[in-house]
Amino acid sequence: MNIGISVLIAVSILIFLGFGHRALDRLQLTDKTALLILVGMLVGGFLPELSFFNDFGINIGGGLIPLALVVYLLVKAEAWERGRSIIASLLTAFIIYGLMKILPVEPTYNMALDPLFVIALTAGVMGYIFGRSRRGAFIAAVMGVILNDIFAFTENMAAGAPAPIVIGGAGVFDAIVLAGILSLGMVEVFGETLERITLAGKDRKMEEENRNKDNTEGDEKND
Amino acid sequence: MISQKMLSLFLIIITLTVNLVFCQTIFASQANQLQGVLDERSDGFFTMKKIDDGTVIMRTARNISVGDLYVDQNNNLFAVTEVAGDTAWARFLRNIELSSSFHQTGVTDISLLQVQAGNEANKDDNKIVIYHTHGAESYVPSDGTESRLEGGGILDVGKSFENALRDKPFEPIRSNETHVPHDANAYQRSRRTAEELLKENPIALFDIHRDAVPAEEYTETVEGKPTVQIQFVVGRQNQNMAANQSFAESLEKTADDIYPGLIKGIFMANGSYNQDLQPSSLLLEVGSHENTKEGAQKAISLFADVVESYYFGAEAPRDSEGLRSVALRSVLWLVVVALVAVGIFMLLSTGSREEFMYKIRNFFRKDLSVLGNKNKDGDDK
Repeated sequence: MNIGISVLIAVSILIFLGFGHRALDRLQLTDKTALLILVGMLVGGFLPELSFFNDFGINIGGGLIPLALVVYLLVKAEAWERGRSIIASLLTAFIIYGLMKILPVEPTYNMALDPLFVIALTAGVMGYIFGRSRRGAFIAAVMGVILNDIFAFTENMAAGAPAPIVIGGAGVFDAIVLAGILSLGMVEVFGETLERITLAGKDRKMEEENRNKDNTEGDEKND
Repeated sequence: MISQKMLSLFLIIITLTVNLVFCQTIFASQANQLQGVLDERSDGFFTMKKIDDGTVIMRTARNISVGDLYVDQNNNLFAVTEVAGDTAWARFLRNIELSSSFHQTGVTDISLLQVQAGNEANKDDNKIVIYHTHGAESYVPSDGTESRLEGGGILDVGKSFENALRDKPFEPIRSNETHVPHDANAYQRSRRTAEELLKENPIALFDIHRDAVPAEEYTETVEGKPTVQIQFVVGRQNQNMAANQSFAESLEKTADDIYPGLIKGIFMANGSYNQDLQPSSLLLEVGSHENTKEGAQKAISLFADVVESYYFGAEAPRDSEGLRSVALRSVLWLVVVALVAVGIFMLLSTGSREEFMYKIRNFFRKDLSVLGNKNKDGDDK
């Protein structure tokens, strides 16, 4: 392969993984855990998928690990956040399903709104409104896409035109992972903007220092 | 503290934005219902015209947006500057020299010829992926319908492409997935197919579609016979756009050499089309729903000759200096965009120079620790 193309692919992947790592880092995971999950998604994407029925499977990197992360986040969340995240997930799934039906099929019709951005935007907004948290947005985005895959599978079965589906089949580059990371990025921007607006500089600086201190302690505990 | 008022304002903005998106999509939905089809406009199509004299450049059922680029059959590059109703007004930029990207290499380097011969002998090194994001698309004159949920005529066109490539020094890998239901999530579903097939390490990916305009728009005389034309679509919203554009231009140049008129043009349009997954990915519009499937199958077989000539023809290999420089420019662009995005976010999240610098230092300290170089004492001096 042409050296330029190889470099382009490598840099694209590295930048994507870099952003992905910083995004997962915001889920109250340590740096190492976030890196481990990201590597797991990357490697898992190349492993054979797990098949449950004839036409239904799940990819380890793109489906199983994000799903496991969602379960972990839900278990660790407080009751109120857990409930809101589940509501946000269901609403996101239904809204995405509706949007995907009424949005034009070709991205050329959607101006700047590629369907993938629509999914992430919906999940980010719903997750933030209901959960007011980054975790809520991530859960809503991942579950929104997974539930939509199940909806599509069911719809095809009902229409008598079964089509195989592999949840998270594109591995770390699947819409499940991309939507999760993008929604985190969006909430981060919303959140930071809100904090900029609502918190006075001094209070905010103190909060930032406390957060950094907590993160550092968390990292050292995991060493 | 301005929290309550600003919070209310922010939530109002969010609500309005969501409503705007809904209004846009509902409007689009109504338009689609009026048109009676999912992704094509049966009531008409978009026409791209020259802003100077109103000459028609091309027609397509795909939407045309301001900023889109189009290379026509004569290698004229146009940029869309205004869209009014069904008409897109485009400004002529220049006549591009397609040979500038790949064709400058020639066959003067004997080592390249040896590599070429070696590659030709080993078909496994020359895998080409064929798939269909919209596998339900069909050709009305041959299939009797423009869309078939269980698999449209477009799959037969893909099969013809596969057969034609198999007779050449290529190993085609084709997916028969339809990616139904036929909705906006189809590209998300076909992304999985593309990624799965990418594990085979192909040299190119082709997503085969058909357009939805009158048949004559995609009909041209090639070698003295009326022939269905093929149009390339390159997604503008991904980091591989420049490389894919060069790939498309080079293929068009090759086609111009052996089958003048076969390639209708190159449309650089909104969207990604999963072309972010790998450079050398193209979406092909093989004719229109009003062309015959048999005509489209013939055209794609001719295109297989073009692909062969591109990789192994007299002027091959074509992907050396030109492609390398295009790809490296894309790398530079990608890095700059990433840095700007990070910078904007950090400025947004810090708001002061001191805090910005603190975060920069913290970033390097923490990341180095992840890479195993962390100072165990936590001393960041």
